[in-house]
Amino acid sequence: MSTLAELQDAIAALATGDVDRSGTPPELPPPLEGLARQDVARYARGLRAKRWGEVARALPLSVRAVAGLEARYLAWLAAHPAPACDGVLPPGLAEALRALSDLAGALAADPGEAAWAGELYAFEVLRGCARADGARRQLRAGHAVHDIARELGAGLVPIDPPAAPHLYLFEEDRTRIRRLP
Amino acid sequence: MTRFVGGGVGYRRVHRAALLAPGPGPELLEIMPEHFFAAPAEIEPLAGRYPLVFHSVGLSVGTAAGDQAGDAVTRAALGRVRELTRRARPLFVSDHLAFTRSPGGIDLGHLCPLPCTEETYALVAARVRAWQAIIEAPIALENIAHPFRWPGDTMTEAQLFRRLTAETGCGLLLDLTNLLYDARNFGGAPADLLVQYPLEAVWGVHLAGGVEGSDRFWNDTHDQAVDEEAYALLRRVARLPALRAVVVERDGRVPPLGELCAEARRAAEIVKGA
Repeated sequence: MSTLAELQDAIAALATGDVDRSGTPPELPPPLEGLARQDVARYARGLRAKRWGEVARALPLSVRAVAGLEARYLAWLAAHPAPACDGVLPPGLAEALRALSDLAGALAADPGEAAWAGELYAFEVLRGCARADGARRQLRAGHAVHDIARELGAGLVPIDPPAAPHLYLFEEDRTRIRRLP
Repeated sequence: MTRFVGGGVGYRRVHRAALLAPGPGPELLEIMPEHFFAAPAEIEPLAGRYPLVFHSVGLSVGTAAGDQAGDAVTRAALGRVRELTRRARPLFVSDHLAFTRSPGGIDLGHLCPLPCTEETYALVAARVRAWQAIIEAPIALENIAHPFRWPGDTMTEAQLFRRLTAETGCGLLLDLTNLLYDARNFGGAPADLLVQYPLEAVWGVHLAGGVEGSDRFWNDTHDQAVDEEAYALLRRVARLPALRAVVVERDGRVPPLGELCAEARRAAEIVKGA
C-alpha cells in the first residue's frame, strides 16, 4: 500500500514527463497500479494543454510569429517539469520566463526561424513580466524589436528587418529604448 | 453564514474597467487571489464596490509534505492571501480538494485528485484548521472534476467532504458542473450523486460549461456557457440554508461582462425564486 506522498510523486513524475507521445505510457509504476493508462495519458495531455494555453495567452506576438512555438515549448516542457516555487507572476508569464533562456536561444540558433524570433520572445516575456510585477528587466537585442512587435500587433509580419542593435529597459509602466552603435 | 448574497462572476482583468465603471454590475465578484499577489492594493476598489469571495487555485491543500499549513510554497501563498483578506474582507476563501504540487517539488500546474482515504482526511483536516487560523476568513473546499479515480479509495468523495465539513467547520464550494461531468464520465445520476454531499455546508455554488472530448470524456474547460443541466441541478440546491453565492466561471473565450452577468442573474433568480 503506497503512501499518499508516494502516489503524488509517482503521478506527478509520470504526468509531467514524456508520457503521451505514443498515446499512453508504456507501463505504470507500482504506486499507480490500478489506474487506467489512457486516463493518465489524458490527464497528462490536459496538464500540457493548460500550460501551453497560459503561455500562449502571455505571448500573443511570439505565437503569431513563430509557427512552431507550441511544439518547441511542449518538447522543452517534457524535459523540464516545472518546479514548485513561490512567486507573484501570472502562470503563463512565469512559465515563459522559466523557458526564456532555452527557447530564445534555440529560436536564435535556428536558421529556419526569423533572425529576430528569439529576441521577440525575450522582448515579450521580459516586458510582460516587468508590467506584471514591477521589477525592472533588461534586454540587449540585435534588432529593433519594439518596431517588430508593433508591426506584429498591427497584423503585419516584418520581412527581413535590418540589424539594428538596441538596449531595452522594461519597467512596470514603460519601456526605455536606446539605440546602440 | 445564512443570507444569500447573490449571483456573481469570476473577476478577469479584461473586465476591470467595466466592473469599476458606473452602472450595474454583478451582485458579487469571485477573485482569484493569485491575480493580486503582485499588486495587492489593486483589490481595494473592487472590494469597495462588490461583495467578494476568494477562490484560489494554488494552495494545494493535499500535498503530503511540509508542516500542518503545507509546503513552503503554500505557506508563502497563505501569507499573501491573508494580506488580501485583510484588505478586502471576502465572505470566504476557497480552494480545491486536490493537490497541485508533489511532495518531491513538481508543480503540476493544475488540479490532481486526492485518493479518498483516512490518510487524506487526516492531512486535509489538519490543513484546513491551520488555514482557518492563518487566513482569518472562513475556508471552503471545492469538489473538482475528476480526470481519473484512484483505485484505492476507502470512502467516496462525498463522504470525505461530509467528514471535513462536520469536523473542521469548513464549507463546501459545490461545483455543479464538476459534479455533473463526474456523473457523465464515471456513471451515476447527477441528482443521486448530489444528495450524498453535505448540502447543509454548501456556502457557494460554481457553474460553468465544458466540452465533450473525442474520447467521450467531458472536460470542464470553463470556456462555454453554463451547461443547462447544471442549472437544473441548481434548482435542487437553491434553498440550502448556508448558500451565500452562486458564481459563473469562465476562463477561456471570455465574453463581454454583460453576457456573463446575464448568466449570473439567471442563476441568482433560480435561488431567489426557490
